[in-house]
Amino acid sequence: MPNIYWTKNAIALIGPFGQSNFTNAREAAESSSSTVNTTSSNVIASGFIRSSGRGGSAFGFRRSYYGFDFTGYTAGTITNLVFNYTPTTTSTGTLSNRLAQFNGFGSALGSNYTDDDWWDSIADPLVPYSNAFNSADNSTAADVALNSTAINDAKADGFLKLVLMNSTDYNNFNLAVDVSNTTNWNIGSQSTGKVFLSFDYSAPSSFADINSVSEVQLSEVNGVSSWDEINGV
Amino acid sequence: MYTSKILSFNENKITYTDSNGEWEVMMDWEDPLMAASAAYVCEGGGDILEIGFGMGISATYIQSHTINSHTIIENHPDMILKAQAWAADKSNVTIVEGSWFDVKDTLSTYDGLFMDTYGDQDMDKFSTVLPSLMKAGGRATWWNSMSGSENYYGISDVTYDVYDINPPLNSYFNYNQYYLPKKQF
Repeated sequence: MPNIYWTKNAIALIGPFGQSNFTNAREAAESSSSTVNTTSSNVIASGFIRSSGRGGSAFGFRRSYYGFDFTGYTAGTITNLVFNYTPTTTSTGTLSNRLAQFNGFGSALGSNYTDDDWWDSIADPLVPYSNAFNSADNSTAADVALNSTAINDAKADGFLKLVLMNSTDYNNFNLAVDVSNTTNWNIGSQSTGKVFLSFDYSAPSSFADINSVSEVQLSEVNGVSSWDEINGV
Repeated sequence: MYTSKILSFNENKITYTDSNGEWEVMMDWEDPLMAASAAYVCEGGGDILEIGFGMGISATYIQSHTINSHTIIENHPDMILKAQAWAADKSNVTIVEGSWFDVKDTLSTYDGLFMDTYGDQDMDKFSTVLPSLMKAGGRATWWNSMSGSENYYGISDVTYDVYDINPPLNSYFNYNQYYLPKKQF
């Protein structure tokens, strides 16, 4: 079962200070600050904050973005794709989250996140890569299954890019009560860190490589009775 | 819940801190806005209702006008103590403890009303309750967190006086103009 660790990541936020409108904050042109390619521990990987303040409410969102390089695995078959993470014990509130398609990081993960990727580089309408899942308030490594859309996207160009969103953010649901939902994770390194993908991989038949016959044409190869005949072609 | 926060009373502001950082509740740069708000609700004199004591800036301005009574509702325990101390030498002041929504049925009607709360979980009910608290011809205003001639509560037939301001960066108001709402019943 191969593991692929993150190649790019970003931790980004907007509000709650100065953000008095739910939609304007959620779909802002830019995040107010971000940290790229962090290996830090105990970062706020996602969150939603609503705080009744002075004559109105303030809204804050936190998201994290990840890019993975699948280029060594596009030829074969990927199954059981799983997103692995390790939470911390400092999370607060409701820790329901969702992973969704992200289109930032440039082609071939050649660019870092920039603040204008905050909303504009998330697929619209949202494309889920996972069901909603609860990140526990503990330090036990956990995982969530990614769907066939994620697998297809990973195979399409060899890169899988996704965003972690608090469910309130993902569902575009403006809560009527004050909350502070912050999901804290450890990130770790690009080689042995806490955020990585794992999956089962079946390499394509070696006949395709040897004879330049595509995988879908393997029946032609299989129809040949012996190596001698192949070599005589 | 705001009322469970431990407030920090500084010379020029009231703040509290939570996991998201430091939140300003009120700051002294608002002084001219408090003065103008007090002046408007006291234009007709009479009985004045103030919802939220804060730094006591508006309360002090209200006291500078000729009025009959001054009722102040405050729900934060730290603020209640401040309000009581401030009111100790003022014979026409009544401090009502609790949420304005919870005590609304115990109130009278008023010639002037200034609404300025923080962390108010009943804000959305203010526009419905407001008329029941006002005398005919009474004047009401409230802290307006919006950036133009509109108001959070959706109250109609409101006029606005515009004030140029230059607030320091803070957690609740960062515009350079304040639209003071004026509603007469």
